[in-house]
Amino acid sequence: MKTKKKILFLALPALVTLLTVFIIPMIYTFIEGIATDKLDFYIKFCTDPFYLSILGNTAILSVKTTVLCLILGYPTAYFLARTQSKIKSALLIATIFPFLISAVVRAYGWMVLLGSNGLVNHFLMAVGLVDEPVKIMYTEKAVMIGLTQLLLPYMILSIMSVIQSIDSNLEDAASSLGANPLTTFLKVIFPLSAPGVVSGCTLVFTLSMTSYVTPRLLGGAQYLTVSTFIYSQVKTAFNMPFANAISYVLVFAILLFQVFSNSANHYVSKKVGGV
Amino acid sequence: MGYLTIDSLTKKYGDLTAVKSINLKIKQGEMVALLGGSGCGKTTILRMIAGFIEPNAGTVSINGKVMNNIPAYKRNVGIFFQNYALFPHMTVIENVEFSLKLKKMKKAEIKEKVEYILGLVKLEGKGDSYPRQLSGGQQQRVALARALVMEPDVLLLDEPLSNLDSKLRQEMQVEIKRIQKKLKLTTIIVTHDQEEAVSLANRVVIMNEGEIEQIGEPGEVFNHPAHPFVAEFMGFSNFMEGKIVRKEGKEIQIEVAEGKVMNQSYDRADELAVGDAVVLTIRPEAVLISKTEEDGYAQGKIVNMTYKGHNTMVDILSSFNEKVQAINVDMVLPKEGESIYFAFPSDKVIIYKK
Amino acid sequence: MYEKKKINWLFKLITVIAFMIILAPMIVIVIVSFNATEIITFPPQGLSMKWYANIFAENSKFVDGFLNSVKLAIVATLFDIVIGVLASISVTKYSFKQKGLLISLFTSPMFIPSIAFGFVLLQMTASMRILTPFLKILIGHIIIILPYIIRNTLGILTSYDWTIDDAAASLGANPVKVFFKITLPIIKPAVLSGALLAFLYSFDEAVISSLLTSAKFTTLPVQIINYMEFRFDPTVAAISTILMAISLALMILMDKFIGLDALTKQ
Repeated sequence: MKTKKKILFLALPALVTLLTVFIIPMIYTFIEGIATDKLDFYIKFCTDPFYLSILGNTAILSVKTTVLCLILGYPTAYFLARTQSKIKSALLIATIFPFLISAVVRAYGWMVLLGSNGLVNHFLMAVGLVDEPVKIMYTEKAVMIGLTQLLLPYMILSIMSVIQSIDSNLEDAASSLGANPLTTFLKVIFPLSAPGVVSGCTLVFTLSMTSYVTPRLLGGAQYLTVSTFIYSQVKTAFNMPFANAISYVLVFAILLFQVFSNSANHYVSKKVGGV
Repeated sequence: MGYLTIDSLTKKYGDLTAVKSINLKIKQGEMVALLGGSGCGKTTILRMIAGFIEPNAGTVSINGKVMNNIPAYKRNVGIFFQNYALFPHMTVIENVEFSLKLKKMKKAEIKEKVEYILGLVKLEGKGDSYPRQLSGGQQQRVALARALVMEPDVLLLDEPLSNLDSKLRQEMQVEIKRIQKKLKLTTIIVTHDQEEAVSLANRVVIMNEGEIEQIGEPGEVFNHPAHPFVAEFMGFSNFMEGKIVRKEGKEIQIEVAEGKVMNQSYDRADELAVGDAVVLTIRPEAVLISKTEEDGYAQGKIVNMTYKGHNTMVDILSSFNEKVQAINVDMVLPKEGESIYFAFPSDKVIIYKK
Repeated sequence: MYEKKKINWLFKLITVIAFMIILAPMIVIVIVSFNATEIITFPPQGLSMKWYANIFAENSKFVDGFLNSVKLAIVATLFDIVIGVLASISVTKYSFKQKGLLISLFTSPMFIPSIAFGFVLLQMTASMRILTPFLKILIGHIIIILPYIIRNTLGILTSYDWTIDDAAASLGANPVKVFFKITLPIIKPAVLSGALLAFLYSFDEAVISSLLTSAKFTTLPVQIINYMEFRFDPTVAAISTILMAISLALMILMDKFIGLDALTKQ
């Protein structure tokens, strides 16, 4: 018992650090906000359609991004997990490499591509789809494209690691039992990979909801998300109590979503026998 | 006075007492086997001797010195782990010389000792391999060499042969015994295999639920188990309950079923009295069987036969409704369902008072 | 068989599209960085290195920002390696009731939006004069990058065979020697890959830094964002290209010494 207790002291530095500069300040600021302004600013946020629409838009944006990442990420993850092709390691590096690249840099690339003078508009005009440049920058589309590029690797890796752990003999077993490839995929592979899908979607949704750099650079002042709106309240409107209230709305929204996704995860893992 | 003395050693995990006040004295150079099923507390004892876990009560002393407050790294107790626990990032030589380097020994001396010990476990030429490049048997010998090279005061072997196939197992048994004798190491070997225990150890300790059931020399525990539990563990079967109905000198009569009386001549009949409820047991290989009725034989019916290569396990249901197991080596047997006769030779039967 | 081919074909097509989206902005940046004209056009008209020279121009603060970001990231990562590895060992060596609670506490910064935490830090530290912007941002980074190191280290420690440490102890190694000669060398790959991710996360972090920055102290990402609000020339592309080259070099080094597998286990 003595050694067992001694080892807990090793947690002390991390524990003290987290409590003093993270947990306690987060709780303290919340309580102090309510103590000085009651719920005034929370009520202000919740009763004004404009403010609510920012939260709503951010949530819709995040859902769209998550769906897009899933549609693009699942087949890619499956391909990467099962292929024996020589380019596999090159593709894996291409998946990991973006993790090491700043969100600022990546958003900048999209600014170049999506601007009215950018490659995408040149292409659209060249093939005759449009006559004049389309406005993509500073719209939901630009932010969604930027976030998808930013977060797609998370989705791919989450799903890939689960598919890799599925015995490929199962596919052969299913087809020997008379299942066609589509049935095999829908009835065997997809359900077994569900835990990876849930964790990938959770990750992508959470990171979209809280992202700041991408919406700031690609959405600007014209397309606001909760994060960029908080920032503008702090740095341009100097409305600290309001910024405080919105911050905690975002915090609680994310925590609520975590609780939801944890139970989803639990349910799915239980169904496929725990991963 | 033992070299390694364990005195009232107790270990509790919450409500569960894993080791219940164990006493054990081991002489210098002696090899003792701790034998028991999983969860009997044998590995916990080993870990307390090594100093990885602290007992709730009692002491471990080596050479007269109480070890309780001495940390594992100062005890000079060598331990061989069931899973070998080799350092994966070190070569065979680096694994083996680890303890010597910690003792700040001279390079030449380290080299000499490592070479000697690798020769002893027959691993010459494997020094620069990493554990993952070796076979299971080779890894095991590295683990043994690593524990031996430190010249431990006490050597602890935790299921040293459990992961090996039967051929390698027999080779390693011989090897361990040879090295232990040569280095005169005080050794405790933990095992769940009674054959391993009786063939390796000078004394065998049989454990059950954290307590010692019997301590004795291999022949003694093998042939005269102290309790029905030990008997079962040592390969006895055919446990039959009964009551002593008559006794004359060494001749006793036991009623094993309504109206069925067995006559036995028993060396230790003095310990028994008429009216005692008893349990009678015999090894299956000691049961005599015959196709025809003979004097002193009881009648039964073959219910099942399991061929085991060089012999056959015969399950018999006696006429008085007791199950009897016998092993047949070379007799041509009747078919399943047919009649057979069996007898318990008096010198092979053990009778326990209930 | 025909159907299987159709599925395979569809999956391959989507894989190609996915990688085009992932790689497109990064490739474009490299091309644009060599653009001769100030207005960014496609395809580039003429090649030039002048935007690279512009990074180091006298009035540019990019070099300062780069050094500030490196300093921050190094200090935060080293600090977190120490507290993170110790914390990870404390929750994996023995199992106990509050283990799950402690682990979720250690990784909790992942679930709190940086903007909210940055704002809290801004309010809490507003009146603390002794805290320089460097220290304020450092505190923020120490918290938000900690989960990266802890998750990677926990990942390897949950499958760690602690009897190896017992073996080392029985051979005469005291707890400190066991840690430095046995445990640490074995878990090093996971710790390093976590540290690389943590380092780059801190280096690239722009939310907390934007909130806590001052005129005297800015980090490179904040500098880039501010620059883009006034000018949109390929200087940023040149910086971005250099940053990508550094990341690529780090990744190759990582692959050479410990393999990239550790990085895919997020």
